Amino acid sequence: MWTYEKKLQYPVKIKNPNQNTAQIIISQLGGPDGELAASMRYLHQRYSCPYNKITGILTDIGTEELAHLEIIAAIIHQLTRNLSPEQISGTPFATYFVDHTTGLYPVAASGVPFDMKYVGIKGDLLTDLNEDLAADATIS
Amino acid sequence: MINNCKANSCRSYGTNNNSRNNTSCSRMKLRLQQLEFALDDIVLYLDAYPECNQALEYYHTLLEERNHLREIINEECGPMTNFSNHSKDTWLWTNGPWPWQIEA
Repeated sequence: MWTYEKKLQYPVKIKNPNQNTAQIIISQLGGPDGELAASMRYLHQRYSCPYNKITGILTDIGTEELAHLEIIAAIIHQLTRNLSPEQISGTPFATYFVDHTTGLYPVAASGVPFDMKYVGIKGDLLTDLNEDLAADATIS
Repeated sequence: MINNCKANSCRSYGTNNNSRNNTSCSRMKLRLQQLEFALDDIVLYLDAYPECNQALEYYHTLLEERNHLREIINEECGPMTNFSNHSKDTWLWTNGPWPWQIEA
């Protein structure tokens, strides 16, 4: 189970709101290569893992990805504070704003909501680890 | 309250026991972020290399300062988890600020 600690893993102090930056960064929240996908991937692969050591790694990385999810949410929250209607209308952010205002809703920058289809879980260790390598782009 | 300190693992954080000093709280919380960031890393390393004694030693060095600091932060700045509400007369856990809010 999870304990929540009331701090960010890394500090976030955005001085200047910018809705255009928020519009792009939101992919790191709810997009195919974002932190929500990453945490769901690792945390769910644990259950079928036959080796305790690897289960440990999947647990710890998955938990850290949840912490990253919080960091990205903090970034977007701070980027979209105090925006005037003029700063929103006519920008790509307007299409997000109409449905969510300045709430945090995991989507990709394209507007596609988060989808578990971004995550491969086959219950076979080597297959799942290959999914992890592909997702984290460590194959050169 | 500060007992059992090995010289190089106890730091002076410049706090007093009475007031909630905002500067020292933000300084302490930053230090906690640094310690726990390093801890996240060494935990992952130990997951992969559990036999590495040097890593385990480093983990304990970090953990000692971190646990000591957390106690101070819970007392002086407010609870870091919902199981650290030390006050017996006030529920402080839901007080702000929350980590994503910018303190004015």
